Amino acid sequence: MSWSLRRRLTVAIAAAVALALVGLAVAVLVVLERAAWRQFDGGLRQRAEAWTALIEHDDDGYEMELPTPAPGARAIFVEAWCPAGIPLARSANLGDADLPQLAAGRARAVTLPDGRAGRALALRFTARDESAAPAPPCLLVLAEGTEDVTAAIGTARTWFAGLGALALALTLAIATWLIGRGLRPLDELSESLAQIDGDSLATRISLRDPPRELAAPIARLNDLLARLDAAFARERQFTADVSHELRTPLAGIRMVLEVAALTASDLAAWRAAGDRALAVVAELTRTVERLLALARADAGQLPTASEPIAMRPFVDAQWQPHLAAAAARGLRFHNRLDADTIVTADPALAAIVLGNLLANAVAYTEAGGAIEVRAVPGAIEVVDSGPAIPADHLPHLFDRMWRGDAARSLTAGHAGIGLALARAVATSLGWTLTAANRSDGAVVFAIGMAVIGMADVTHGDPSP
Amino acid sequence: MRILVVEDYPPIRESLTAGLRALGFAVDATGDGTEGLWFADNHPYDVIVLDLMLPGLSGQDLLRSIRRAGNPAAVLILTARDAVSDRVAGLDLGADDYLVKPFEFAELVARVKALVRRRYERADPVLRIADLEVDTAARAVRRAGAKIVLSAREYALLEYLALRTGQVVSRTELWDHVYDFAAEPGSNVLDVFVSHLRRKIDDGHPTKLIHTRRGLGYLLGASP
Repeated sequence: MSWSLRRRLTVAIAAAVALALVGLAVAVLVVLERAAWRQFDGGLRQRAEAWTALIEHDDDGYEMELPTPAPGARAIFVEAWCPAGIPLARSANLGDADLPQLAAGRARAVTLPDGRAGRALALRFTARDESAAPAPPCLLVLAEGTEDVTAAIGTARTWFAGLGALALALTLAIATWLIGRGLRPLDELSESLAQIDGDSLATRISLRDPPRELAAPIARLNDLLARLDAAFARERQFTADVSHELRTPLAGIRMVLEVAALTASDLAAWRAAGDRALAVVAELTRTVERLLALARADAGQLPTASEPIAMRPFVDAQWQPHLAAAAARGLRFHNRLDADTIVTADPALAAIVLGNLLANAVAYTEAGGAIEVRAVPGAIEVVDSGPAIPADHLPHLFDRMWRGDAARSLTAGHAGIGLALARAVATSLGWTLTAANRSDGAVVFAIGMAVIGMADVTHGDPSP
Repeated sequence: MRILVVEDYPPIRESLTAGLRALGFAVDATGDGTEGLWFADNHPYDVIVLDLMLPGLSGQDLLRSIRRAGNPAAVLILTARDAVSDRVAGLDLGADDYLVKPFEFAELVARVKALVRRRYERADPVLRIADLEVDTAARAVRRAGAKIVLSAREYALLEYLALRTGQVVSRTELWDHVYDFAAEPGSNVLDVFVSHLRRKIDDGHPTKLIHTRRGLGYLLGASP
């Protein structure tokens, strides 16, 4: 069971206050009761001493005159032994009973002969003596009912208990109110949080009067919201871009077929329209596959085999699909890898990385330029003869759907996702992928990886 | 009606051009924004079908530029982005309508026709001149209730004259709105088509509707 903060604080405070109240009450009561008993015992002693004055000793022995108790006076029990052990006198109210012959000095609780609770005090004394011979000491015991003191103490206890309970109840009420007030910023915070959903991530939490303890968590929450907002915006943008990349070829297929239905007069015309539509379908399929690969790379679900790849023939194979496009733009290609350059990786994923880098080079290298693939220590590089990537484009180069030329679309031959995909896949292979402009205007995409067979790699020379 | 298609994706551009031509529209097409702007600035298009994402010059910039220059052509935007903000942005720049890809060719044609009607301030798709009815939606022509069969080119000529009923239409204007750059140039081609049209429309009817204004052009109307 998890208790609310409110409840925990209230219970803790109530327990602390109750403990303090009980402790205080016990201490005060103990002191009060002691004082009451001391006072009672003092009275007992005074009366006992007064009684001793009534005992005389002369040559005939001891003598004691008991006064007749005044009507309505407090019932006092007295018994004297003179000398000690020999009964001398006793108050009439004792009847046949005896008081205990206590040790002299301190008062003690006793049960009175009439059954009431009381206290008794014994005094050892030497009686007033009119004879020559010294008198042996006497013992006088005086007992008195304690019901007045007990009643007073009981009243005090009742009062203390009542007032304590009242104080506790009051404390609880005040504590509850104060804690509720103190925790109001938390309620406010939770209300503001409850209002935030995927569409309102731009809102930031601000409390009317935030306590210092909440300032840091609120700042963290706002940072988190800002990051979420940015991530959501990126996802929305990506979704919009993806929808663009899919809708355009779909529109193309539809147009080709609808217009063919309107205009095609013979089988040849239909066949031409069918070929055209199929070409668009192939393009669309490639786009979808790339998007899927990107999504899988993001989710870390790419299947990875690990086998040695001879890079030189591998790069030649990756260049094959670009032959026609490169020829159309007059681009030269140089595979400068050695026959013994070996990379251990998943061939399908390595093909995605290299294929997209080559596609990018074919799309962006100026007509008549050159593209080369070469090995340098710790990396394989795809180098094209430029033009250089504008400095403000470099940081965004690997963003998904980002295009140097905003109006250029995937379907027009180049991918806004190609480089993003290449980097995501490279990362999943444990490679790095970076882009840089060389001072001579060439553009270098470097795939950082472990390369075997680098013994006779020459590097640093641009394409001839 | 003369239409400019500015769309960089070849399958869409080429199919649109072929389809619209088959329906009798005069169509010029380009896949480049800068070239599109040149076309729009130099020829009186009735409707411009404009993709927004273009190489060279973006569709937005093209639209802004032609509107600033006072080009009255109706603009139909093609967009693959269906977010409300994208569509609103296009309309705010001065577009008259938009279509989200993928769209149906029939819908595009219907919207183009509607834009043409609006451009010539016609609400009724059926143009009526005396007892002549030109149904621009069905591309059908009747005179006194009798159906008249016209070729695509003849229909285009008649529709343009009908949209400007009562006005003298110069040969240049007629040429500009009915022929695209793919058409064979020829000084008397127009006269040949007009004479074909006149024969089909006016022959056998006491009231002549197509009139020649020597040195000025042609006029369609009940009174000469």
